[in-house]
Amino acid sequence: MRYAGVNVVEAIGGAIIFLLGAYLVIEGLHYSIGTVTRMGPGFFPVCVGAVLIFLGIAVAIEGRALNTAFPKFNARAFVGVVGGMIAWALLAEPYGLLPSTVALVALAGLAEVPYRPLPVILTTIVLSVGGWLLFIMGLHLPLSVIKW
Amino acid sequence: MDLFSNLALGFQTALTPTNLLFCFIGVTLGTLVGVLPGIGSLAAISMLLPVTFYLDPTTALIMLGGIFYGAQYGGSTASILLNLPGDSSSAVTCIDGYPMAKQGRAGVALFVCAIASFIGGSTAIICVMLLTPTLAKFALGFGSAEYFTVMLFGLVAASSLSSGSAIKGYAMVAIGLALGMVGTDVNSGQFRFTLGFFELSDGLDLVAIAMGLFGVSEILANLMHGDRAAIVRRDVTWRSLRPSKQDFRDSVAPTFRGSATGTLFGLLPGVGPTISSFLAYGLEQRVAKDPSRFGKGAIEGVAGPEAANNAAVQAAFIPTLSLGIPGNSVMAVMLGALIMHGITPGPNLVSQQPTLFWGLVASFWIGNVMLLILNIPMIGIWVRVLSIPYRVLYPSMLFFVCLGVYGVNNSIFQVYVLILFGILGYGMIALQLPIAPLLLGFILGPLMEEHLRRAMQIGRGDMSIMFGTWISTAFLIATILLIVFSIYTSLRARALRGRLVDADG
Repeated sequence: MRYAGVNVVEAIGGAIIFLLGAYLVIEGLHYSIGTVTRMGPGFFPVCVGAVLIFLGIAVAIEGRALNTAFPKFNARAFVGVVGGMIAWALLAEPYGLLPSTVALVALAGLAEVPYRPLPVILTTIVLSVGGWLLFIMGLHLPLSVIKW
Repeated sequence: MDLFSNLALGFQTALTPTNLLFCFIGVTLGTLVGVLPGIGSLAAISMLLPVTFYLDPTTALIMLGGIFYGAQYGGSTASILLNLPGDSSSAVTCIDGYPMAKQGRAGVALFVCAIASFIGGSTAIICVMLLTPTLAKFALGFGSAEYFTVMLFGLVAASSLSSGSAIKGYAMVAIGLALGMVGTDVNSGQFRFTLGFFELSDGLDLVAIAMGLFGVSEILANLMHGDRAAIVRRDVTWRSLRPSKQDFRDSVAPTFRGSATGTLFGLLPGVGPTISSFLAYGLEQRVAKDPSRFGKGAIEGVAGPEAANNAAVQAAFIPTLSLGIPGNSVMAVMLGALIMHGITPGPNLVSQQPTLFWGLVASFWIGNVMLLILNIPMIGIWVRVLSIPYRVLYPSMLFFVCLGVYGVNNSIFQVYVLILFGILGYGMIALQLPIAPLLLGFILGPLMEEHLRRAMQIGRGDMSIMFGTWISTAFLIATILLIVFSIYTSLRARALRGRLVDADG
């Protein structure tokens, strides 16, 4: 993907690395730098940040002539997987393992086209029973199976 | 001799029922994830990290190690039957393994793979036994300056020798170092980069980061642009496994050449099993009388690389266990597991934890024999495993990842860290930034900062302490040469590409 003679993918990568380095330097300067003999907590972050700033520029320059493109983005799969995991995180402690697993598997199943309810239901049952036996009975995780 | 009493101690440790059981679990799981395309050994090892909290460190390492070398055995199965590598280190096996399967010789290819893997692994284990204690003894006199320069060399080598742009590799190492700073500074007690989250005062959790970067991101990438292939042959019978006399004669020499290549290159940081297997394939092509047979089902092209990737996997333990310098991300995760158990990796490991080191080495022998049994008589099971649909696999993996990360500290916060790093890892794949160096930097970062501080304190702020002994001087010069060399080659490659772009108009 190219725009105005610049490779967009590589430029974005370089910019992110550069900004991260800048953040490291700025935040590191708030901590005490100390001296070279007695380094403060800010010394190493500032050094690494400076290296990152330099490398960010280098990545953008190095990739300038390349023709790398973004892989195709499947929003449905992304939302399904990430949404499913967030749902699990939100539900696991207040409502228990069973509801959170149902939510995770049902949402993650969205990534597959066409959506097939039967494998989703079967996977949910197997995972809930397996997770209950292994993690709650076996490893004593403090999660309940189901809670209202 | 010392070696035999040490080995006896090792087998005593490895042959306890618990260790045997976890060795078996490790190699079986390793074969399973190796067989299944889309789950690498790294993802599997990071997923099992939380389980190791409940185990003795020796048992934990035996299991994690088993996954790593077990995956090399399983990886070739998918390469041969699906033309899709089960693990990246078996990619090269597709070239000649798949044509063999199409000619109806899948059984022979699978059999030769298992035997070559075993010989490759055994060769390297002998080197682990002989070299690790010697190297460790040599490194015992290391001070902070030596540690810092050796680690710096390890990081630079691992990120510049792996595939892709060296500059991107360095940038990812530096980001890893930055992530390693999150938490409380050990010397001053100052909170660094905690963004106001009290949960981050102990630093970012290795399990959440590793699972996010390697597990979740891999699932995302597979779902968005993964290949699905159909299996060529299911009819792998006992009888079809037997190689002919000709097959046997053709694969002996490549197996030994591959074992040597793999052991040698497995020792170097950053090279690892994948590159070793490609090098072994190139070597076979070069020494062959008739190179045109390659790509059309030449058995040499299967035996050599398979021996090499197994040898490389075992040899990677040498720098990890003798110096505490992991050459690749799997070794870094294993070191992380050791650190979580309160064991400091380094040259003292072999002498201070003899049961751990020799027990692990003995378990390699036991594990490789188990793998031979798992992969030859029971190959039919793995062929059937290949037909498990991904739609069942990935929700299960997500579930275990979430529960596993939660289980480390019983904290939902870590699950959010996991999700964040999963997205981050996917973003890195999309931007073609290498993930493995980041993890290396993250694990080595805190150790490096500590050694740098100590060295500077000893040297009273004088940078020349880095050149204080010939060891640190040598490593520093090697590091500088590597950086210069990698920048030179990347500039030259860019000039070549520039010309290509111009030629395209």
